[in-house]
Amino acid sequence: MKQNGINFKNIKMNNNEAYELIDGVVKNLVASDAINTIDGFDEQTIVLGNGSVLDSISFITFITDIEDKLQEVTGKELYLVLNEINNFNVDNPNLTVGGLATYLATLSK
Amino acid sequence: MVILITGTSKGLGRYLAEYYLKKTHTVIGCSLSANVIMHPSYHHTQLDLSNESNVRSWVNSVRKKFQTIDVLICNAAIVSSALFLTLTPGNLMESFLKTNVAGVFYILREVSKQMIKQKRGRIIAISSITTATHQEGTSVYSATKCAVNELIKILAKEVSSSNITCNVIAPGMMKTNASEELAKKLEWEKEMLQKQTIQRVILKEEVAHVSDFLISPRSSSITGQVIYLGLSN
Repeated sequence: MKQNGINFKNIKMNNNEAYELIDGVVKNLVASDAINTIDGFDEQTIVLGNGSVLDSISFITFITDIEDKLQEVTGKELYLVLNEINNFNVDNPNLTVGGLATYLATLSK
Repeated sequence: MVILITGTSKGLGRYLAEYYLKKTHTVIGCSLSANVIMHPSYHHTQLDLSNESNVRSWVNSVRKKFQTIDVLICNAAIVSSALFLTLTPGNLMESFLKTNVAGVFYILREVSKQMIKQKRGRIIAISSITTATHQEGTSVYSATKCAVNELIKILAKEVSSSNITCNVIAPGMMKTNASEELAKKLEWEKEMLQKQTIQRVILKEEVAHVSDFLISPRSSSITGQVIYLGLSN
């Protein structure tokens, strides 16, 4: 299966593939005017917390689309549970794209 | 419209499902028991709403199949015989919390995600005037319905920018399986009616009328409201 330029030959993703998945979702959301263009989007971009590039409603749409894409790629119903994400907690309340990618990679295994 | 209604096997939920089917809408329903509504535009799933992953899978499959959910009516709830708080077993209280609060929470969360994506929607929860009359014997039931009222009021604020309205219909005494269950003890029906401003049984048609009002395009500015039927505010 080819998604966002990456061949997913099995249901497991590594961090890079997870990042590509997130990037693809963001590009689709920008293209459909669901969110504004994000300048300098990379692994350090904050998607939830202080300095987030997404507002609350945009974040919900973003997460929903990621879950849909995950299902498309992995063939499994996978749901994001925010309090299961490593390094996203009361002491570190900012969720970055890199942190999310790591979580997605773990989730797909 | 695509209308999703929970608890469609009997009582008010079944009435509302058949009511909207007659109005040529597509109705997606669920209940713990098997389907009782035979109609080409009705789609039933046997489902325990207190099971988070089942609710997620169900709503996921609904939105993939129908692409949209225009209206959600959270009707499913459990009621048991009227029981003083001091006599209410802990496991009964927990089952109320699971179905009447957690079940509503899960369905609200999953459906509102879809509605946010589609940037429109109408959410209605069925509550009860017992939250305002403080009827003896309904402590746990009323507490769960108060929780539903609060979930809806807060969700209304959280999703308002996505053109989604969230409201509560809180009917007085109705003739349903649920109210008959409550009426088994404490002359409950008589006492309930005495506490209402309009001292008669509320008809299912009256609930449908309010539901129609809330889902009308002209009601797009009405949100976060609890509309009592049979009780002055």
